[in-house]
Amino acid sequence: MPQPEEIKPVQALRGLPPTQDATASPVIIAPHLPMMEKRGEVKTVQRNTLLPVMGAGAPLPPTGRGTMSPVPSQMPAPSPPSGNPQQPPESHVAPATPAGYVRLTVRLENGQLSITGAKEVPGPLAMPSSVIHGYAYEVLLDDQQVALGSIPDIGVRRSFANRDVPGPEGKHHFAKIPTIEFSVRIPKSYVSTRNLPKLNIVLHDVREAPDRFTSLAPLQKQTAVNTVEVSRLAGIRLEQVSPTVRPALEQIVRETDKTE
Amino acid sequence: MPDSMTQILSSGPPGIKVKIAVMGDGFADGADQTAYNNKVDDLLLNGLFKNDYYFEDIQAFNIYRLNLISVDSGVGTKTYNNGTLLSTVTKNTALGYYYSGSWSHCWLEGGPNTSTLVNNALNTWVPDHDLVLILLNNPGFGGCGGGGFAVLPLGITWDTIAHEFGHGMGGFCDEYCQTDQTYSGPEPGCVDNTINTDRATLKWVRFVNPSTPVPTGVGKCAGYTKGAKPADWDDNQSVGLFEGAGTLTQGIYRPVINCRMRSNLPPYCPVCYTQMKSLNDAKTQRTFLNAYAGDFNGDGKSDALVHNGNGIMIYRSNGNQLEVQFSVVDRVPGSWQFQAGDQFWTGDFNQDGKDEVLVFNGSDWVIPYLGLLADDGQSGLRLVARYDGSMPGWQFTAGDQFFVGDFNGDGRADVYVFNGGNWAIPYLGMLQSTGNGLSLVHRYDGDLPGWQTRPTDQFFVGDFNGDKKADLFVFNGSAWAIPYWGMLASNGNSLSMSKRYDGNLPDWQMRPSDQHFIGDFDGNGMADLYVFNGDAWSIAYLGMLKSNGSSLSMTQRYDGNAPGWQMRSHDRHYVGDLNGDNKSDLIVFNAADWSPVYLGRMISTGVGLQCDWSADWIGGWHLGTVDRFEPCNYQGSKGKPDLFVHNTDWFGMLRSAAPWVLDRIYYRWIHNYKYGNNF
Repeated sequence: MPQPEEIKPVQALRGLPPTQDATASPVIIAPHLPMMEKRGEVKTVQRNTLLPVMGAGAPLPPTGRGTMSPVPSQMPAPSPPSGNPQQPPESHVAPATPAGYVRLTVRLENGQLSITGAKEVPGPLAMPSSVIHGYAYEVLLDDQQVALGSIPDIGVRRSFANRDVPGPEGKHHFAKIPTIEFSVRIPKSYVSTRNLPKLNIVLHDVREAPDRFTSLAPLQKQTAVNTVEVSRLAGIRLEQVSPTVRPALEQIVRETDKTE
Repeated sequence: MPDSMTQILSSGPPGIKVKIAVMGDGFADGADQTAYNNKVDDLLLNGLFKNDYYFEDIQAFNIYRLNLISVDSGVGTKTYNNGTLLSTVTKNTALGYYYSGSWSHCWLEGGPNTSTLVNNALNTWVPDHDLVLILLNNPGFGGCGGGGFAVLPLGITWDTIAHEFGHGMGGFCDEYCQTDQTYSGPEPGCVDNTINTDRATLKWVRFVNPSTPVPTGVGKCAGYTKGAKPADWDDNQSVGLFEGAGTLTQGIYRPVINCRMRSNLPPYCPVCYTQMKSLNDAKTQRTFLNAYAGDFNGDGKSDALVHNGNGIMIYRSNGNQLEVQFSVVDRVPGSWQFQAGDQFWTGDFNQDGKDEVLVFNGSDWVIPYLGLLADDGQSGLRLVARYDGSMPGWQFTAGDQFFVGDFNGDGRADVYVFNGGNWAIPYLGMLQSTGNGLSLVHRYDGDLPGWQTRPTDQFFVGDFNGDKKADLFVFNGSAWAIPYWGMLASNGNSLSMSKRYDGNLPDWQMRPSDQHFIGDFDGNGMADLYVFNGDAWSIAYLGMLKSNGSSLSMTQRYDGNAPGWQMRSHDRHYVGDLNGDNKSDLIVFNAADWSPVYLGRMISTGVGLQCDWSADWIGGWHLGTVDRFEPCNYQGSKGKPDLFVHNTDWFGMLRSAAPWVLDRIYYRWIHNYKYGNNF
């Protein structure tokens, strides 16, 4: 929560009475309304003449859907729960999914990024609120972040350590992998013919980042973020995507184009 | 049997959750598949996700178990001697892995088609994945990780996976120091290793107590070397700067003496924990908006139940702070599946001294469900009774309203249920607790004794005649020409009208917008009535009407001001016993009518009120319009002197005093750092 000194100017904007005063007179909330009758003199009843009084046999306005079944004369003993799942309504069995997202497999080789896989995934995509220190990607469209993700643990193959034995096996054995692949997830609505050339996939080495991002600006423009750009794929051109991936990506783009 | 996939943990859509795909290699059809399923359960559901961070954030994860059928049982093997391959035994398995047991060969390796087979299986069976766990049917030790993959034989336990996921998900470095060597590289990028010994710029300084020396431990793979270790020091949770990390003994530092990234079994240290929580916080989809107080372990202290979508968490009070006690997503044993529309009430329904949870959902399923959740014996909850659509004598509908109270005086909380709008006539039911379920003892169809029921009737529970049986108050201000107030006494299995007030209460002119609060303000064992109206008159009124067992009399009426409090339209009231004198007091909150936001106490003397208040800030808690309050007793002292205060992101524990005292404040998640916090 912000500190008190940061709050005071905001309070002044509320334009409300300053403070409680235990010695002040009662606050007149609504001058056009009467006061309640004094204690010991309360006798007047405000009546809405359009409505009946209780006990006048007024019929109940029609509501609902008939009456409950009669109460059984004998109640059965309670039985333990069956363990069966609750039954979803039909609309939940096959929910209409929103646009979904696209999972791109991206390869970093010789400092260059290329797309080696594309798959559509149904359902919404959450933007993470934080990234790790280390590798992370962001996808930019017109200098605005539309996707972000951490890429922990890439570029390495690691034997588990056996802490029960002395010697080198007690730690990881590392082997570097020259070519690395990682997944980039983008809301499907951004993967269209119009947007593809403008999408930038940026691979970062994040040195400092806050616990919680509050902006959709590019990482390098955010305060409290210190990153080094490792590589960038500036624009996605279908003609440059490998033939094995291109049909899937083209299909996704066609579907998105229809909704634009 | 063909290959298949079973989702063994379902928390939500894949794009919002951390997705773990589990595959097996060398598991043939039949008994092998059972062994595989059991091993996955042991490692994940009963191992990893039953412990510390993963237990707490289970709601952030989906687990997809791929059931791949191998022709042969067991995986192939390779035998090395000093790096030289001596022999190879190949088996016909789903993924073609070999186990070697050779550390320098990552303990295992794939065959020529393994990569393709793994990718094909993932593309076929899981919508998406972040982490992949591949279990090899070989009893050996070891495992090979990297790039979000962990391939391991059967001789591995859950804590090793927890360490590996620290790398694979948190991007953590190792914190052990096996090699006697001095680090000479640049500042490591991970959050949990550093070469920086300057306290002012140390990347985890916010968790280091100013009284802790920095560095805290120097020398090869150091423990606490800078003086005597403080008495309250915790090797896993107290943060300092200790030499030896990243597998090397010197020149590089770690935050604690013994984190999971050093020796697997301990929980993550505050640095790693906070990183993991921050990374996955959005994926838990949690807020603190829906919180309920209840004493779920019977220690006399109110705990907190927080509901979010398809999960709940229970936080246990130790008197001045909360700890995670129970975390569940999807369903509890016995099968209650949590949904966003669940409504909760707490009470001791089986007289075991612990609160149980009554839960109703009338909106998310094809039929309404009512469930009763009780202690599972392991500090969690299980379903003990569920009513699907109806119970004998009562058909549930979405508009059912529930009121908890022991209406037969047997020490077990019972339930009044009212439905005014979903049927041709209103219904009121009395559902008696049997200890392990509910049973209808009386149903009123249409009218109550001396009262013509209307859909807009408002009910309140309180024992107004002091016979230990919870009675009902009923009010209707809008359905009739004049407002009505009724007092319906329970004899344990039916109700009778003790007194009905038509138009006026004693010294109080009723209005439709009257607000009622039930509490024994004079401590005589009979529930009395506070009534407030802030908008029907030119000034606000607050009345204290005392019950004599069968009727009410005005004890005190405050016109405009209560002693120490100027009443306003938007005053919000809650009932508690703030000073433990057995007299019900009022908590009053106003965020709309004054420049400051006020939280006040209206302490009952039995015949009047004495008020005081705090404005805007209570310790580090900034009172705001979004705040919600739950009167409770988290200290375990007399009365109900405390408040849980909560909103979307924040949760606080307020103790009654003049002014109020903040015991704890939590942001986004409930965790008690030894020093520092996450905000």
